[in-house]
Amino acid sequence: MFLELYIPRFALFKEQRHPALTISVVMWSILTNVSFTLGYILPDAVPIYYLPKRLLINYLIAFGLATGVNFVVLPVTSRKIFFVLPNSSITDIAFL
Amino acid sequence: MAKASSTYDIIEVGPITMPSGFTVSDLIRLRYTKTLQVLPYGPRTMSSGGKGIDLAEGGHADADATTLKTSSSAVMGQQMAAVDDALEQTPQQNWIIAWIKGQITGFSFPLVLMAIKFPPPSLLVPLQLTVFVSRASLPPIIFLAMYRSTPVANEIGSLGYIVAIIASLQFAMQPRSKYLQSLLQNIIFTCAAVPYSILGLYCARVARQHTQAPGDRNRYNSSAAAVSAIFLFVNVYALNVFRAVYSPFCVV
Repeated sequence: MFLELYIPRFALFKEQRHPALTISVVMWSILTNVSFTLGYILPDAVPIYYLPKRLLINYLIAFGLATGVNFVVLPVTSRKIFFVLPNSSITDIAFL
Repeated sequence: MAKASSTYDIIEVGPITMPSGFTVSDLIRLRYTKTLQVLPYGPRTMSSGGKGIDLAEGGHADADATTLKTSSSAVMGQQMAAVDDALEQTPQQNWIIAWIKGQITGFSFPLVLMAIKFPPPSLLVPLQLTVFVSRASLPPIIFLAMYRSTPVANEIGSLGYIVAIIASLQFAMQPRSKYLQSLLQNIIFTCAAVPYSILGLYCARVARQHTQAPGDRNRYNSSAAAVSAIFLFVNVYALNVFRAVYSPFCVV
C-alpha cells in the first residue's frame, strides 16, 4: 500500500507542473483507506453503508467547522488580498 | 614568582611543555589577561613539579633561557592549581538563580528606551495578527474541545480523528472565494468516494459469504481482505494518475 502510494507520487510523475498536494485527492484517499482497512472485518449484522456513512458525516462536520471559522473569524476576501497585500506589509492586517 | 613576573612581563609560550588539557585558547587568554581560567578538561599532570616552584621562589631575574622556560611553566602550574582549588571551593549554584542572573546582566536599557520612544501603534494589531496567522488551526482545536463532551463522543465514536484531520486539511485561512472553490471541490470528491467504498465493501462481503462456512463466526476472511486490498490499490493508483494529469485540481 505504501509502495503504491509512493510510486505514482514521487517516482513516475516528476514532470508534474504544480508539485503541490491535491487536497481533494488526499481526502478521497483517506476515506477509501479507512473504509478498506476497517470495513471488511465488520460482521454481517452491520449494514454495508454504515462505515462510509459515518465517514461522510465526519467529513461534513469538519467542513462545517472550517467554513464557520473561515466566515466568522477575521473574514478575508480575495479582493482585499489582491488589492491590499501587494502594497503593504504583514502588519497592515488590521486594514483587511 | 613576583620577581619573575615583574621582570618578564610577556611570558614566552613557545617551547614550553604544556600540561595536558591546556589548549591554544587558554594560552591566548593567559597572554592577554594574565588570569588563567581553565575549565577542568580532565586529569592534569604538572610538568615542572617541585623544581619549578623552588626556582620561582628563589627569583631568577637574570636566568638563561632554559630556566626561564621552567619558571614560566611553574607559574602556569601554580595558577592552574589555584584555579582547581577555586573550582573545588565554589559551591554549586542553582540553575534557576544562574538563569535569573543572566537575564539581569543581559538586560539592555537602550532597548527599553527604544520601546518607550517608538511604541507599537496599538495593542490590537499583534493580537489580530496572531489570530490571523493561527486561524487555520482553529477548526481542529474546536472539534477536539467538542470531542471531550460525552454526547459528542458517543455520537461520533472512535472515528473522531478523521474530523480533526479533515478540518485541518480544509485550510480555513484561505480567502473566501478560494475557500469556497476548494470546499465545493472537496465535497464533490468526498461524495464520489463514498459510493466507491460502498461498492468495494459490498464486493468484500459477497466474497466472504461465498468462501466462509455458514456456521463460521470468524471476523477475518482472506478473500474479503484481498478484494478490499485490490479495490484500495486500484483506487490509489487511479487517483494519483488523475492528480498528475489534471493539475488544475492542485489546490494550495
